Amino acid sequence: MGRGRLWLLAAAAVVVAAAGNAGFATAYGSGGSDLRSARPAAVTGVADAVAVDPSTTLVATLGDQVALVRDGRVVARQALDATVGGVAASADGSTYYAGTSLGTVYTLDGSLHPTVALRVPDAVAGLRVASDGAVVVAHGSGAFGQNSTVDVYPAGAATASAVARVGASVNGLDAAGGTAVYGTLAAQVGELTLDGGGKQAWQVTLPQPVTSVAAVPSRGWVLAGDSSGRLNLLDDHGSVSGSVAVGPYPLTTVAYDPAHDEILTGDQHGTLRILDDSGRVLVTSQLANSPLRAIVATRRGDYLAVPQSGVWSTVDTGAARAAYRAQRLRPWWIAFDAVLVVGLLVLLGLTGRRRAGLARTGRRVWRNRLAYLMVAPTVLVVAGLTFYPAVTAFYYSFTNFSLSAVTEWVGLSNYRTIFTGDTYFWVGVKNMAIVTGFSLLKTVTVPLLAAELVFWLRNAIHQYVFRTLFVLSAVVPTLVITLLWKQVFDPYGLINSLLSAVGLDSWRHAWLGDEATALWSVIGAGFPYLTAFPFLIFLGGLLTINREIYESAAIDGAGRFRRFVHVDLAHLRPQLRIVGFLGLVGTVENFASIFILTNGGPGDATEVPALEMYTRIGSGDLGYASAIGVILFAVIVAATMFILRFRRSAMEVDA
Amino acid sequence: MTSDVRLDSLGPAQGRAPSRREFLTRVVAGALAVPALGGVLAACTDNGGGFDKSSSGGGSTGAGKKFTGQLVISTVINPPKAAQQALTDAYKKVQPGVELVWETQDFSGSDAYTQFLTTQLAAKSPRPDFVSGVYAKTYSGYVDLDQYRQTTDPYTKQPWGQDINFDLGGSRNALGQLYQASTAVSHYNWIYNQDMFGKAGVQPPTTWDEFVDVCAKLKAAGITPVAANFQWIVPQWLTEIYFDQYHVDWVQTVRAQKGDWNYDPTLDGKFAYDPNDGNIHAKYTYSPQRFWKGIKDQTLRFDTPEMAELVANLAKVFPKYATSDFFVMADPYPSLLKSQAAMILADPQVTMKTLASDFKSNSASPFTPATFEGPAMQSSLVKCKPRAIEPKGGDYVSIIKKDSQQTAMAVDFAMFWLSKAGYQPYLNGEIQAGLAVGTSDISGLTFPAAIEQQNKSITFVGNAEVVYNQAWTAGADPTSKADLQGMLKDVLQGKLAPQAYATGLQKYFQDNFDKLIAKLSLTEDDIANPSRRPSAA
Repeated sequence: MGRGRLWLLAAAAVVVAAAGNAGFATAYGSGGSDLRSARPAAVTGVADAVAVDPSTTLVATLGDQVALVRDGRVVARQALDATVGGVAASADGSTYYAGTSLGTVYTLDGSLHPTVALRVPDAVAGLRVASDGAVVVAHGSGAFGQNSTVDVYPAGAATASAVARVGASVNGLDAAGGTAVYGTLAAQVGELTLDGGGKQAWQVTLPQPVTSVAAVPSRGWVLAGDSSGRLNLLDDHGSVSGSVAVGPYPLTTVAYDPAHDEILTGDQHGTLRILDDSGRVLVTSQLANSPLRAIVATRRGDYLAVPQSGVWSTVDTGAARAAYRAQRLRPWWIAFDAVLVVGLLVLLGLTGRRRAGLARTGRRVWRNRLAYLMVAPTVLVVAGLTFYPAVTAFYYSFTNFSLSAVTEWVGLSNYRTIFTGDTYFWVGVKNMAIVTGFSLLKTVTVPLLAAELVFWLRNAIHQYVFRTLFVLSAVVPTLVITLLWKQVFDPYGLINSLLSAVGLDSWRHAWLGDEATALWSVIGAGFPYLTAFPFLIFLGGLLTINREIYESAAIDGAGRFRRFVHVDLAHLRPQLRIVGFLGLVGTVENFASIFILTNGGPGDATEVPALEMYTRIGSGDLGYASAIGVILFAVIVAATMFILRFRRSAMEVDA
Repeated sequence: MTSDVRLDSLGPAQGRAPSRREFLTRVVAGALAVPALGGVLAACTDNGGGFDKSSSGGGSTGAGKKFTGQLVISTVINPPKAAQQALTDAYKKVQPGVELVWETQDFSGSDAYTQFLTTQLAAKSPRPDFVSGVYAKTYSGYVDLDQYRQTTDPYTKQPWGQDINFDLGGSRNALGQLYQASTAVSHYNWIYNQDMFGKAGVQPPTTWDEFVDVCAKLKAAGITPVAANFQWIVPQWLTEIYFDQYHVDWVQTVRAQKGDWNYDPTLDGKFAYDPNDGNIHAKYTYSPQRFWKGIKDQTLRFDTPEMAELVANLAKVFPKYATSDFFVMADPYPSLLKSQAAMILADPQVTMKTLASDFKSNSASPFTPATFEGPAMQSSLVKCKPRAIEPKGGDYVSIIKKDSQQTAMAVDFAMFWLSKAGYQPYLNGEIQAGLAVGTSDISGLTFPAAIEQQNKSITFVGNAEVVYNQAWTAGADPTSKADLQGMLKDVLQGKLAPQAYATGLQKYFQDNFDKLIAKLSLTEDDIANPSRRPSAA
């Protein structure tokens, strides 16, 4: 390719990049206008809200109050006899109702002055007014409301015309177009025909507890949100037409916008979603950090989203589709730029020697493709079973992953808590440093001395016998050794018995039970620390040293100590590195012996971070445990790098 | 020249210009790659792709319904094969379309099961339907069995709550949810070495002061009086028993009130406060919100003379008269067996049998064991006689919530298993396999005469193991538990005066209130409004 052609290609790429990005930006911006506007909360601690008229909303608080909010201002407020279980307004906005947990249903005038309208035997769980003025009351008692009913009271009547026994706490109630629908904790959805006096038309069971319902008679629909975040679509005969996973949190409110054929959902987490009538999510918007309690129509044709606490939001549903189209462009935009960047990198990468090197590597791989193919399964298994979990743990360390909540990204929160608020972690770090230091000492010294001893034995049979004896300890599982040492440290164990035997009864001690001696006892367990693996490594290292060096050292007059320091130790540096590295990793990761000996006690005297991680896993605090794991990983990596630096210096010295 | 070389190197391999065919191939490949990549990204970012017609409902559920599917059982106990088979065969007769899969195994200990269970539950869709939830209490996906207590058991034609005694054998989490049923219940008391008591010239105590005196005399006789641990015996069992003695009146604050979401008129409507009623804790609905509200508004306080007296009494015995490894001891039984300590707090039914067996196998020198009830603390501040630890035993059964069809099937099987209909054949299988079985929570079972006799010999005095009695030593998570038990350790060791401990405990709850309720998945709004269902419940 000539220089001119190359420049032409570069100029064309710049033009394409600029034009493409400008085009995407324009298209994205045109649909990306914010479809919500926030307004200060008129009432905080909202439990329920209904539209009275296009500018007025009747609100029930979490407590015992009702409030009338007009154009964002509270115009009336009233405390009732108990917690408000539901509010409702007549279709013409002339009469308001509120029901309480003591079973009283009030009518409220314009200034919310209450008059007792009805009494039901237990707590009101929901309240709506039908278009003909009939009052629909859901009530029940107990955590699951097995006695729950939905009653229909014709306008002005104090006696119910129909009572539908639903058998579970009612979580959602709606009335529109001559029907009332309800949803229950036991996953039931049912419909009452108000024209027929409130007769139960049907009841079906969905897969999950129902948390909100909306009747849409104009489409022949019933919408039911559930506790798993799914929106279920039923027809007016109770047949389930389909369902869609809207989000991970329970849907606390559902509404239908007839002007745009859109469905609005609010969830436990304060997220609003707008769906088209095919169930496709058009817009997702986080409006609050508390559950959305109601979505009500307003004067201008838009909708008011009312959270339990936090700002209220006016939502322009008309802008949802444009926003959706803009959102759909986003992945294409990212892909476009990604391709450009990748292209640029490839272009830069394929220059000069790098290109030649890459081509050589490619040819080599191709030549040995069968070998790579045969290795591939192993690589995949290792990647899947070793690296993937490690990477996953890294991800989870930034989440609140637990058994009790939906997993959310919490950033550095776990790390912040560990470093600033977890005193046990720091106690553990101190203990871990002490245990690791002594463990390294134990792992290196005794096996090295034993290896020296065996190496310098003149008799080959003796050498064989001792080598076998020292290695024999490896066949005893570590767990058994630890349990034996637990017995040794027991108040009635070997140490105290020996002390008594030699008349030192006053020295008897609860070695593991006393904070002053527990950690040192844990460190001391395993005496004489003659572990087989480092012993064999050191012995192997000694066997590789050229005998002529020893002869030279002898001629130079080196004694045993100088020979040990200047010949043996100098040549055993690689072995020391391996043993040191494995000893360090083993000690930092190991908690089993401490768990068996003391379980981290007494108090926190023998606590170590790995044990805390184990405890957190057991208590289901998996995100936090992952963060501790990542920190331990970082400690090991840092220590390994230190050891590698030590190696480099050693080599330099050798050189 | 150098730049020329570099520019040339930008060309294709071997410095050859691409052919027209190669150039077009790359353009086409690029053109195909962009939409493909975009499609992948779009698929990754899209959520809610429209109503899924295939996921249409769970269908109706109800008594007498025939189910089809598979239920996986992974409880902590691995029942004998004979029991598994007997239950499977019996259920097959009534629900031929349901396959029972027993995935139980012999775990090396509770920690091993805890790790197994946590791993299972961490999955988005756990495989088991039945587990032993007490080993992962914080999991939020268990079926709350309260929901089905009044439901008619299709196999016995009576409310399920009459088939199995949930009040005795049920376990509640910090939110008061009944997440587990158990099939047996025990009554724990002190088991002592009569020979050692005889040597020291002491009799079983009935009051705490006598207990302290007995300990002093045993020690004077060269005998270690008590073997106990600081894991569950002192900071759970004893603290519960004696906190209950001093604070039973907290019931008036922590029980659900009329209008509360969980107020049950058939239970709470009949509640009458009688502090000496052994079963008082089974006669109201516990409201976690009212408990924590009481802590927040300080209606319920820890910095009281009652609290100071309670820990001062405990400190008279622990660790002073316990084995010297008290703070790290795991299992006190070997100390009793080897006559290294004179008494332990345990299940007498199990311990007596184990002792007899161990004596027979010459594991230790025999002695004469006997039992006495928990000694009562006595003072003007005490409000009731002591209750006991009457823990759950047998099979621990929690149901994992899945879709309503699967859950309904699981509940149907649970109603069969945990009622006479299924438990009798299961029990027969256990007996056939030589498994010792004790008092059952399930009504109407027929036991062999010897076991029947043994069951009749147990007197239940009421259980002190209720949620609020544990809060001051269990906290809400591992950190608060360690903090609180650290404080208790300090006061027992004399590093902290009892009144200073009580004051510190009050301060701890006040200072850490928000953290504690957050760990229990409660919010400030939940606490402020106990009449409303908590958002996490």
